[in-house]
Amino acid sequence: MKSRTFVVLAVLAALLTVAVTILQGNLYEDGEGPRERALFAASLPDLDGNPQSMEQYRGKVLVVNFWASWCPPCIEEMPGFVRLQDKYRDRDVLFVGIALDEPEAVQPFMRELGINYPVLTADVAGYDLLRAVGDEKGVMPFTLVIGRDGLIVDSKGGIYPESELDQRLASLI
Amino acid sequence: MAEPLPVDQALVLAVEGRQGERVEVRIDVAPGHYLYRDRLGLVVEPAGLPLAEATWPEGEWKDDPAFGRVLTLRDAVASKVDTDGLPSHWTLVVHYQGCADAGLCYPPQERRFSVTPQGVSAATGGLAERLGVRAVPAALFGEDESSRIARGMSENTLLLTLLGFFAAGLLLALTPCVLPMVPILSGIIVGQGQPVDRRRAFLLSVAYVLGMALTYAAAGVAAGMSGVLLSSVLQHPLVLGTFALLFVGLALSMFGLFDLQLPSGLQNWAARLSNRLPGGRFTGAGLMGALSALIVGPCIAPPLAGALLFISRSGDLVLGGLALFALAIGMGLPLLVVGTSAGAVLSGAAGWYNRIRIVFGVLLLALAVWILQPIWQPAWDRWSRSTTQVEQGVRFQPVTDLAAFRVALEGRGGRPVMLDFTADWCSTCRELERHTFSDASVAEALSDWLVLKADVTSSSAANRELLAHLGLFGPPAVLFFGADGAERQGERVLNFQPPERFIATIRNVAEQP
Repeated sequence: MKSRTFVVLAVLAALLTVAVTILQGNLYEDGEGPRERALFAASLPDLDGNPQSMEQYRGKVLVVNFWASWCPPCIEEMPGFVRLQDKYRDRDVLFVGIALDEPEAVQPFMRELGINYPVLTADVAGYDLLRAVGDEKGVMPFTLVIGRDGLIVDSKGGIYPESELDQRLASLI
Repeated sequence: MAEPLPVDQALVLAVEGRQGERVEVRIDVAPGHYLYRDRLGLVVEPAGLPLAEATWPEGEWKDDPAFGRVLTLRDAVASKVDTDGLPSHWTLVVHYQGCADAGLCYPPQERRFSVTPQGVSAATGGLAERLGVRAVPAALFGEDESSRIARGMSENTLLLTLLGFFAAGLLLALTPCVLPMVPILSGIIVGQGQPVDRRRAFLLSVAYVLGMALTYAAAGVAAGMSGVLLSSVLQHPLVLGTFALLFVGLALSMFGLFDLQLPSGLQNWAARLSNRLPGGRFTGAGLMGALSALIVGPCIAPPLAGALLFISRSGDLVLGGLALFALAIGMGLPLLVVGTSAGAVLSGAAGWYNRIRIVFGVLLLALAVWILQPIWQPAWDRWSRSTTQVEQGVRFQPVTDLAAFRVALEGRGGRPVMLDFTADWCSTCRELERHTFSDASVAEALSDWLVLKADVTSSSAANRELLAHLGLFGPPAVLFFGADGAERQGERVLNFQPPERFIATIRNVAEQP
């Protein structure tokens, strides 16, 4: 009897601790995981060959899209990105393209698709980054949505439907 | 959309034959996937040998919104390679790239095969492989125990999954994690204050186990719904600390050092409440089971994390609930035996129970230490590393930023240089440290080297600059520089390598001009 009342008391105390911990948001004070760290630690050349650190984009709502010139579905979804970038430009939303390509292979697409957001390039080593941010199979397109707090809120392998991404962005701004 | 297949299941490459006869390259394309014909390639190495003539099928035209009309290949694609005029040993390099109708593409693949008169074997050492482009699951970045468990599970069918969870539960019952439940359950049964027969003890145990199982089922559904890992909540130091204290408290009460009691008014209220509840004592036992599930939660966090990760990835609520229910039933099965027999034994004389109380107490104390492992493990690792390195492991010289690295490189004094990138969150780095860098023969092979280490745990500007300068995204990464100070980029180690292979890499660098 006695040991049981102790157990009840102790369990209640433990539950209270869990509840308080969750409510205080303690758990998320350092919510950045290895995926975020890998992404923001990256520094990649832009189309002029100048290194651009991903860190500089922190603080905005980010859509980071991995693509390549040899990937038809990647090209297919990019006009939607261009439209959404226009729509949300004033709301501090920024698209960043990361092309696993040579800059020369990327240039024609910039003009043809009228890409209105920064595009960085990564050669073969880009696959390490791709895996590091959660695309375990290396499939493309691969798109990350990142909140203002720098945390990845969504990731998608394959085409990200425009309407779905639109809603997602609307919920974040 | 269904989970995409790994590239090696979507596009299955096989090379058969032997030098002197014909060699056949075959790619089996999974349904719903296709290959680009103009991206198929066969190359014979060393360069200068006659080119392999490919005889791929014609393929079919596909109207591609991005590229216009392109030739694609589906089903089984094969090409013969004429081996006339080739030496007895050569290397066949196969290039291919494909996509899925679902709207995604796989990166270009490059595979190498050694062809000899004895046959064909997969060769290593290609650029693509060194850079980790191969979609080999074992090479997943930063894979930990939980994700391995989750990956194993997602390949099973429903029944197998549930059986697997049940079996996992039985295994968990063998761990000390269920120990805290034994005194609780015994308390419920013995605490009746009246003789308990075997049947009643059994039913109370069933109620208790069901309460526990339903709690885990709820956790499973919650995980399926939210995708949030409860286990990450359970791994928080504050939570772990509280539970450790709880276990210590339980242990002390096992030793009979003290008894905590609620005020008698509260006790009466609790007794009245449990009498009024439907099912009376049984409901109470069920509630205690539910609470117990939470008590041992942190203790079984790693397997629980795997289960919850699997469920939250599948997003299937029914499966999630059922799976964790099966797990808990497996875990509770031995408790039924204990509870039933405890009722019979304990209601007669408390002697048996009193004797094993001490054992339980000691085990509970050990448990308290064990669940705090995530907190003391890193400190222990640091300590043991710092001591073992002095004796046998590789000795590193830390570099903190790009400037320090340049200074260190300048001061190499004609020695080759190794630079290891590590971070607290990098599990592959831990493996390298534990198995490879701690190895005496690795240390021996590096004795004439300047060995540097950069800890890039924090995403500071200095660390980012250093990584960017070397064209890295982060650890794991081990870079080698020749005695001339130039990096041997082709030798970068970006995954775990066991000591023998790592030594081979080191030798390779040292012997290059």
